[in-house]
Amino acid sequence: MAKIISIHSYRGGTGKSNTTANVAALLAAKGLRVGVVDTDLNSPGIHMPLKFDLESGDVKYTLNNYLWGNCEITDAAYDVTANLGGNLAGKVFLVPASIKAAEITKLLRDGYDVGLLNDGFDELTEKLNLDVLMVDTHPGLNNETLLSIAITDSLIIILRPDYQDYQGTAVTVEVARKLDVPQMLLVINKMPLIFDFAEVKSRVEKLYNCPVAAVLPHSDEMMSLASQGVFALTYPDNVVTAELQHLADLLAP
Amino acid sequence: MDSFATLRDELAQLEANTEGVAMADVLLLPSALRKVFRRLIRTKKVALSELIEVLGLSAAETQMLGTILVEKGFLQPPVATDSADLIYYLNLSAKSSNPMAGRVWDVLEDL
Repeated sequence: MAKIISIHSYRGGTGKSNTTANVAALLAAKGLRVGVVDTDLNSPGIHMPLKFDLESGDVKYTLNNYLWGNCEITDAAYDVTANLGGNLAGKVFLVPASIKAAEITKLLRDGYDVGLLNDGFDELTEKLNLDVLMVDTHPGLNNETLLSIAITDSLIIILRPDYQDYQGTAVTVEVARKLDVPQMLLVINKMPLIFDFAEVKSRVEKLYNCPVAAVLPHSDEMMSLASQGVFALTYPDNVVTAELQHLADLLAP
Repeated sequence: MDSFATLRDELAQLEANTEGVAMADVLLLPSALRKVFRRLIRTKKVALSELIEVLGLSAAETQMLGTILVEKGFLQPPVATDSADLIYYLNLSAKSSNPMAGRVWDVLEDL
């Protein structure tokens, strides 16, 4: 059975998709077969750092089509390993969500069978022989994020050093505890360099009684990359990459 | 571990969802049952014998809780197996959608 890793944040813009893409690539670098599912159906984005062109004519199906019953979930899974560079020993498969306005609104209006999403994860894992399935979620809490939290083996909650994030993260941590998630790790992202990293890490761990797996400093290189690739493969010697590597090491099955 | 009476009384206070439950409803369950449902979401079914073991209750008590969970919409009515065990299936509600006014969606769909 594949290890399921869900990446969540209470608020948007925390760097969920970039972190997911980086960890997926670093796990693939270890020779693992990694699936990434974009369940952020309202505002999909992880296809960007994974350098997958959703507007290409070759893309026939997305997660939306699967949820409407138009295809198998494996029809909507694309091998993006070659796009990433870095001669990865493993594989990265992406199940993207649609970026067409009409398809996003149709799904939001008509809804979909959440159980089907759950079945799709199982099918994807089995048919692609995955070692790890990563679920990139919509920020905040809704039925889909609750599902992904409930089924996960490891939950990564990303926050910035910001009081709105601190308060929202407390809600997510409480929900995850209620659902008895086996492993919960916090990642502090976009940390200003003027902060004392060790002190912030210690305070956050104490506040939530939960380990902080990585503290990612604010990075001009990350900003300039602008989600146009996987940071860890583009800047292998950067301090951000070292933290992401530590996170990947903790999550590897 | 919660007693049968505690679990029964807590379940009795929950609203019934005849069309199945949403994930948020699972959060309302007593702690012992939340753990069962967390696993059930992945496995989709659970045998009465497993429930007895996890909850630490008698067969009759566990079956009574099963009946309440069916009434409240969390589980589907049990199915008997050849081994005389009962299998309960998760009863997730089929649709998840945003209740925003239909007209708004119609306009957006024209984009």
